[in-house]
Amino acid sequence: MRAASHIPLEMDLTAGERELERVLAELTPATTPGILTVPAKEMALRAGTIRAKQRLRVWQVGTVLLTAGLAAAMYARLPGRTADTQPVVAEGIPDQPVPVIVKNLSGDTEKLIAGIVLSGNGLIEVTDPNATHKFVFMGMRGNGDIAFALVPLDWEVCDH
Amino acid sequence: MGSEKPPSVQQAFCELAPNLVFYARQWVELETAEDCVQDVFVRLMLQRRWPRRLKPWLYKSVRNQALCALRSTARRRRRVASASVHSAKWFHWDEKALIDADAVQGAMSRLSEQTREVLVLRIWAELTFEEISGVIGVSETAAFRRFRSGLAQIKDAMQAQSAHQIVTTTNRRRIGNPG
Repeated sequence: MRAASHIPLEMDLTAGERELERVLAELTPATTPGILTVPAKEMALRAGTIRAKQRLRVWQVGTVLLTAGLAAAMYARLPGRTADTQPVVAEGIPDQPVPVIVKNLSGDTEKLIAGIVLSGNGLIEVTDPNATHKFVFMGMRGNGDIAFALVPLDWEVCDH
Repeated sequence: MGSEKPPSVQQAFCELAPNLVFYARQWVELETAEDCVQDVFVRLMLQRRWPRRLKPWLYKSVRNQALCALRSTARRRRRVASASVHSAKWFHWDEKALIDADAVQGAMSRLSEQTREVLVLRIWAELTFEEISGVIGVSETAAFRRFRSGLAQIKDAMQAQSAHQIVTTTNRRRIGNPG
Protein backbone atom coordinates (compact mmCIF):
# COMPACT_ATOMS: atom_id res chain seq x y z
CA MET A 1 0.00 0.00 0.00
CA ARG A 2 1.33 3.39 -0.96
CA ALA A 3 0.98 6.38 1.21
CA ALA A 4 1.06 9.95 0.02
CA SER A 5 3.81 10.85 2.45
CA HIS A 6 6.28 10.93 -0.44
CA ILE A 7 4.55 13.97 -1.87
CA PRO A 8 6.31 17.07 -0.61
CA LEU A 9 4.32 19.89 0.85
CA GLU A 10 5.07 22.34 -1.91
CA MET A 11 1.80 24.16 -1.86
CA ASP A 12 -0.82 24.61 0.77
CA LEU A 13 -3.36 21.84 0.83
CA THR A 14 -6.01 21.49 3.47
CA ALA A 15 -6.00 18.45 5.71
CA GLY A 16 -9.09 17.15 3.90
CA GLU A 17 -7.46 17.53 0.50
CA ARG A 18 -4.33 15.80 1.72
CA GLU A 19 -6.38 12.95 3.13
CA LEU A 20 -8.27 12.54 -0.13
CA GLU A 21 -4.98 12.59 -1.99
CA ARG A 22 -3.63 9.87 0.29
CA VAL A 23 -6.72 7.71 -0.15
CA LEU A 24 -6.65 8.10 -3.94
CA ALA A 25 -2.97 7.19 -4.00
CA GLU A 26 -3.87 3.84 -2.51
CA LEU A 27 -5.71 2.86 -5.66
CA THR A 28 -3.51 0.83 -7.97
CA PRO A 29 -3.77 1.60 -11.69
CA ALA A 30 -4.89 -1.39 -13.72
CA THR A 31 -2.72 -2.74 -16.50
CA THR A 32 -2.65 -5.89 -18.54
CA PRO A 33 -1.07 -8.61 -16.39
CA GLY A 34 1.53 -9.24 -19.09
CA ILE A 35 2.79 -5.69 -19.32
CA LEU A 36 5.58 -6.22 -16.84
CA THR A 37 6.67 -9.52 -18.30
CA VAL A 38 7.98 -7.90 -21.46
CA PRO A 39 11.55 -9.14 -21.35
CA ALA A 40 14.40 -6.73 -21.60
CA LYS A 41 15.74 -8.80 -24.48
CA GLU A 42 12.66 -8.10 -26.55
CA MET A 43 12.94 -4.37 -26.03
CA ALA A 44 16.67 -4.49 -26.61
CA LEU A 45 16.02 -6.35 -29.85
CA ARG A 46 13.59 -3.68 -30.98
CA ALA A 47 16.06 -0.98 -30.04
CA GLY A 48 18.78 -2.82 -31.95
CA THR A 49 16.54 -3.12 -35.00
CA ILE A 50 15.74 0.57 -34.91
CA ARG A 51 19.41 1.41 -34.51
CA ALA A 52 20.29 -0.80 -37.47
CA LYS A 53 17.57 0.86 -39.53
CA GLN A 54 18.92 4.27 -38.60
CA ARG A 55 22.41 3.23 -39.66
CA LEU A 56 21.03 1.81 -42.89
CA ARG A 57 19.18 5.05 -43.51
CA VAL A 58 22.41 7.00 -43.07
CA TRP A 59 24.11 4.77 -45.62
CA GLN A 60 21.16 5.05 -47.97
CA VAL A 61 21.16 8.82 -47.76
CA GLY A 62 24.92 8.87 -48.26
CA THR A 63 24.67 6.62 -51.30
CA VAL A 64 21.86 8.67 -52.80
CA LEU A 65 23.80 11.89 -52.27
CA LEU A 66 26.93 10.35 -53.79
CA THR A 67 25.00 9.07 -56.78
CA ALA A 68 23.31 12.43 -57.23
CA GLY A 69 26.69 14.15 -57.04
CA LEU A 70 28.18 11.82 -59.62
CA ALA A 71 25.19 12.24 -61.87
CA ALA A 72 25.40 16.01 -61.54
CA ALA A 73 29.11 15.91 -62.31
CA MET A 74 28.51 13.77 -65.39
CA TYR A 75 25.62 15.92 -66.51
CA ALA A 76 27.79 18.99 -66.14
CA ARG A 77 30.21 17.48 -68.65
CA LEU A 78 27.55 16.38 -71.08
CA PRO A 79 26.72 19.81 -72.48
CA GLY A 80 30.24 19.90 -73.93
CA ARG A 81 29.33 16.94 -76.06
CA THR A 82 25.69 17.15 -76.86
CA ALA A 83 24.18 20.44 -75.81
CA ASP A 84 22.91 22.84 -78.42
CA THR A 85 22.67 20.08 -80.97
CA GLN A 86 19.98 18.86 -83.22
CA PRO A 87 19.47 15.24 -84.14
CA VAL A 88 19.82 14.50 -87.80
CA VAL A 89 18.48 11.42 -89.46
CA ALA A 90 20.22 10.20 -92.58
CA GLU A 91 18.98 7.42 -94.72
CA GLY A 92 21.39 5.90 -97.14
CA ILE A 93 24.46 3.76 -97.53
CA PRO A 94 28.10 4.61 -96.78
CA ASP A 95 30.28 6.34 -99.41
CA GLN A 96 27.23 7.56 -101.30
CA PRO A 97 25.94 11.16 -101.42
CA VAL A 98 22.62 11.30 -99.66
CA PRO A 99 20.11 13.94 -98.82
CA VAL A 100 19.95 14.56 -95.13
CA ILE A 101 16.79 15.67 -93.44
CA VAL A 102 17.40 17.85 -90.44
CA LYS A 103 14.75 17.81 -87.80
CA ASN A 104 14.51 19.62 -84.54
CA LEU A 105 14.06 17.68 -81.35
CA SER A 106 10.30 17.73 -81.50
CA GLY A 107 10.42 16.74 -85.16
CA ASP A 108 8.48 19.78 -86.35
CA THR A 109 10.91 21.56 -88.62
CA GLU A 110 12.45 19.81 -91.55
CA LYS A 111 15.27 21.02 -93.68
CA LEU A 112 16.99 19.33 -96.55
CA ILE A 113 20.77 19.51 -96.77
CA ALA A 114 22.21 18.26 -100.01
CA GLY A 115 25.67 17.06 -100.87
CA ILE A 116 26.58 15.12 -97.76
CA VAL A 117 28.66 12.03 -97.94
CA LEU A 118 28.53 9.26 -95.40
CA SER A 119 32.03 7.88 -95.11
CA GLY A 120 32.74 4.30 -94.28
CA ASN A 121 33.87 5.03 -90.75
CA GLY A 122 30.64 6.81 -89.92
CA LEU A 123 32.00 10.34 -90.19
CA ILE A 124 30.26 12.86 -92.37
CA GLU A 125 31.79 15.21 -94.80
CA VAL A 126 29.97 18.44 -95.39
CA THR A 127 30.59 19.76 -98.86
CA ASP A 128 29.27 23.24 -98.23
CA PRO A 129 32.34 25.51 -97.63
CA ASN A 130 30.23 28.01 -95.74
CA ALA A 131 29.04 25.44 -93.24
CA THR A 132 29.26 26.50 -89.62
CA HIS A 133 28.24 23.14 -88.18
CA LYS A 134 29.28 19.58 -88.58
CA PHE A 135 27.54 16.31 -88.02
CA VAL A 136 28.52 13.87 -85.34
CA PHE A 137 27.55 10.27 -85.56
CA MET A 138 25.28 9.37 -82.63
CA GLY A 139 24.42 5.78 -83.44
CA MET A 140 22.06 3.54 -85.31
CA ARG A 141 18.40 3.58 -84.48
CA GLY A 142 16.19 0.55 -84.18
CA ASN A 143 14.61 1.12 -87.56
CA GLY A 144 17.98 1.31 -89.32
CA ASP A 145 18.18 5.10 -89.48
CA ILE A 146 21.47 6.69 -88.57
CA ALA A 147 21.30 9.40 -85.97
CA PHE A 148 23.59 12.44 -85.97
CA ALA A 149 24.06 15.50 -83.90
CA LEU A 150 24.65 18.87 -85.48
CA VAL A 151 27.41 20.68 -83.57
CA PRO A 152 29.55 23.75 -84.26
CA LEU A 153 32.63 23.11 -86.37
CA ASP A 154 35.09 24.07 -83.66
CA TRP A 155 33.74 21.54 -81.22
CA GLU A 156 35.76 18.51 -80.41
CA VAL A 157 34.12 15.18 -80.69
CA CYS A 158 34.75 12.80 -77.86
CA ASP A 159 34.58 9.08 -78.35
CA HIS A 160 32.07 7.29 -76.15
CA MET B 1 14.85 7.27 -8.68
CA GLY B 2 15.34 11.04 -9.05
CA SER B 3 18.21 12.00 -11.29
CA GLU B 4 20.16 8.83 -10.60
CA LYS B 5 20.49 6.30 -13.34
CA PRO B 6 18.69 3.09 -12.41
CA PRO B 7 20.63 -0.15 -12.79
CA SER B 8 18.74 -1.18 -15.89
CA VAL B 9 15.98 -0.20 -18.25
CA GLN B 10 14.16 -3.34 -17.23
CA GLN B 11 14.09 -2.21 -13.62
CA ALA B 12 12.86 1.23 -14.57
CA PHE B 13 10.25 -0.41 -16.75
CA CYS B 14 8.98 -2.66 -13.98
CA GLU B 15 8.87 0.24 -11.58
CA LEU B 16 7.25 2.87 -13.75
CA ALA B 17 5.40 1.13 -16.58
CA PRO B 18 2.05 0.60 -14.82
CA ASN B 19 1.69 4.26 -13.89
CA LEU B 20 2.91 5.36 -17.31
CA VAL B 21 0.28 3.14 -18.92
CA PHE B 22 -2.32 4.62 -16.62
CA TYR B 23 -1.22 8.10 -17.63
CA ALA B 24 -1.36 7.26 -21.35
CA ARG B 25 -4.85 5.87 -20.90
CA GLN B 26 -6.09 9.41 -20.40
CA TRP B 27 -5.98 9.62 -24.19
CA VAL B 28 -5.87 6.14 -25.67
CA GLU B 29 -7.12 2.63 -25.08
CA LEU B 30 -5.24 0.25 -22.82
CA GLU B 31 -3.51 -1.69 -25.60
CA THR B 32 -2.38 1.46 -27.37
CA ALA B 33 -1.25 2.92 -24.05
CA GLU B 34 0.93 -0.12 -23.41
CA ASP B 35 2.39 0.14 -26.89
CA CYS B 36 3.17 3.79 -26.29
CA VAL B 37 4.98 3.01 -23.05
CA GLN B 38 7.01 0.23 -24.64
CA ASP B 39 7.93 2.50 -27.54
CA VAL B 40 9.12 5.13 -25.11
CA PHE B 41 11.31 2.63 -23.28
CA VAL B 42 12.76 1.45 -26.57
CA ARG B 43 13.52 5.09 -27.32
CA LEU B 44 15.12 5.36 -23.92
CA MET B 45 17.43 2.52 -24.91
CA LEU B 46 18.38 4.43 -28.02
CA GLN B 47 19.36 7.50 -26.04
CA ARG B 48 23.07 8.12 -26.02
CA ARG B 49 22.72 9.98 -22.75
CA TRP B 50 20.43 8.93 -19.97
CA PRO B 51 17.90 11.72 -19.31
CA ARG B 52 18.90 13.93 -16.43
CA ARG B 53 15.51 13.51 -14.78
CA LEU B 54 14.22 10.19 -15.92
CA LYS B 55 10.68 10.22 -14.59
CA PRO B 56 9.54 13.56 -16.03
CA TRP B 57 11.25 12.61 -19.29
CA LEU B 58 9.33 9.36 -19.43
CA TYR B 59 6.00 11.00 -18.65
CA LYS B 60 6.54 13.70 -21.21
CA SER B 61 7.57 11.16 -23.85
CA VAL B 62 4.58 8.96 -23.08
CA ARG B 63 2.33 12.01 -23.29
CA ASN B 64 3.72 12.91 -26.71
CA GLN B 65 3.49 9.34 -27.90
CA ALA B 66 -0.09 8.94 -26.72
CA LEU B 67 -1.19 12.22 -28.25
CA CYS B 68 0.54 11.22 -31.47
CA ALA B 69 -1.29 7.89 -31.47
CA LEU B 70 -4.51 9.71 -30.77
CA ARG B 71 -4.02 12.16 -33.61
CA SER B 72 -3.20 9.37 -36.00
CA THR B 73 -6.68 8.01 -35.46
CA ALA B 74 -8.12 11.44 -36.29
CA ARG B 75 -10.94 10.81 -33.90
CA ARG B 76 -9.60 12.54 -30.85
CA ARG B 77 -12.78 13.76 -29.28
CA ARG B 78 -14.62 10.51 -29.72
CA ARG B 79 -11.70 8.47 -28.48
CA VAL B 80 -11.21 10.65 -25.42
CA ALA B 81 -14.82 10.22 -24.50
CA SER B 82 -14.58 6.53 -25.16
CA ALA B 83 -11.37 6.11 -23.19
CA SER B 84 -12.67 8.15 -20.31
CA VAL B 85 -16.09 6.71 -19.85
CA HIS B 86 -16.57 3.40 -21.57
CA SER B 87 -13.22 1.67 -21.40
CA ALA B 88 -12.18 -1.05 -19.00
CA LYS B 89 -11.48 -0.43 -15.37
CA TRP B 90 -8.77 2.03 -14.52
CA PHE B 91 -7.91 0.58 -11.12
CA HIS B 92 -7.33 -2.83 -9.67
CA TRP B 93 -10.06 -3.84 -7.30
CA ASP B 94 -8.84 -3.82 -3.73
CA GLU B 95 -11.15 -4.79 -0.93
CA LYS B 96 -8.97 -2.98 1.58
CA ALA B 97 -9.17 0.31 -0.30
CA LEU B 98 -10.87 3.07 1.61
CA ILE B 99 -12.57 4.40 -1.48
CA ASP B 100 -14.67 2.87 -4.24
CA ALA B 101 -12.44 2.57 -7.32
CA ASP B 102 -15.37 2.56 -9.73
CA ALA B 103 -16.76 5.71 -8.19
CA VAL B 104 -13.36 7.37 -8.46
CA GLN B 105 -13.13 6.32 -12.09
CA GLY B 106 -16.58 7.74 -12.74
CA ALA B 107 -15.71 10.99 -11.03
CA MET B 108 -12.39 11.26 -12.83
CA SER B 109 -13.94 10.58 -16.19
CA ARG B 110 -16.11 13.63 -15.70
CA LEU B 111 -13.12 15.87 -15.05
CA SER B 112 -11.67 17.93 -17.83
CA GLU B 113 -8.74 16.36 -19.64
CA GLN B 114 -6.29 18.92 -18.25
CA THR B 115 -7.45 18.54 -14.66
CA ARG B 116 -7.42 14.76 -14.83
CA GLU B 117 -3.94 14.79 -16.27
CA VAL B 118 -2.60 16.85 -13.37
CA LEU B 119 -4.27 14.54 -10.84
CA VAL B 120 -2.73 11.47 -12.43
CA LEU B 121 0.71 13.04 -12.61
CA ARG B 122 0.57 14.21 -9.04
CA ILE B 123 -1.06 11.30 -7.25
CA TRP B 124 -0.03 8.21 -9.21
CA ALA B 125 3.08 9.39 -11.02
CA GLU B 126 4.24 11.13 -7.85
CA LEU B 127 5.70 14.09 -9.69
CA THR B 128 6.27 17.42 -8.04
CA PHE B 129 4.37 20.45 -9.31
CA GLU B 130 7.59 21.72 -10.82
CA GLU B 131 7.95 18.50 -12.79
CA ILE B 132 4.28 18.52 -13.75
CA SER B 133 4.59 22.02 -15.12
CA GLY B 134 7.51 20.83 -17.22
CA VAL B 135 5.61 17.83 -18.55
CA ILE B 136 2.39 19.55 -19.53
CA GLY B 137 3.76 22.98 -20.25
CA VAL B 138 1.90 25.16 -17.75
CA SER B 139 3.06 27.12 -14.73
CA GLU B 140 3.37 25.48 -11.35
CA THR B 141 0.60 27.65 -10.00
CA ALA B 142 -1.74 26.65 -12.80
CA ALA B 143 -0.92 22.99 -12.23
CA PHE B 144 -1.58 23.36 -8.52
CA ARG B 145 -4.87 25.14 -9.20
CA ARG B 146 -5.98 22.35 -11.52
CA PHE B 147 -4.96 19.75 -8.96
CA ARG B 148 -6.91 21.42 -6.23
CA SER B 149 -9.93 21.86 -8.48
CA GLY B 150 -9.75 18.19 -9.44
CA LEU B 151 -9.63 17.07 -5.83
CA ALA B 152 -12.63 19.26 -5.02
CA GLN B 153 -14.62 17.86 -7.92
CA ILE B 154 -13.83 14.29 -6.93
CA LYS B 155 -14.78 15.03 -3.36
CA ASP B 156 -18.11 16.51 -4.48
CA ALA B 157 -18.77 13.57 -6.77
CA MET B 158 -18.06 11.08 -3.99
CA GLN B 159 -20.29 12.93 -1.56
CA ALA B 160 -23.09 13.13 -4.11
CA GLN B 161 -22.77 9.42 -4.76
CA SER B 162 -22.89 8.62 -1.05
CA ALA B 163 -26.02 10.73 -0.68
CA HIS B 164 -27.58 9.02 -3.67
CA GLN B 165 -26.80 5.61 -2.22
CA ILE B 166 -28.38 6.53 1.11
CA VAL B 167 -31.54 7.77 -0.64
CA THR B 168 -31.71 4.69 -2.85
CA THR B 169 -31.28 2.35 0.11
CA THR B 170 -33.97 4.18 2.07
CA ASN B 171 -36.36 4.03 -0.87
CA ARG B 172 -35.76 0.32 -1.30
CA ARG B 173 -36.49 -0.24 2.36
CA ARG B 174 -39.68 1.76 2.04
CA ILE B 175 -40.76 -0.26 -1.00
CA GLY B 176 -39.85 -3.46 0.82
CA ASN B 177 -41.80 -2.42 3.97
CA PRO B 178 -44.69 -0.26 2.78
CA GLY B 179 -46.36 -0.36 6.15
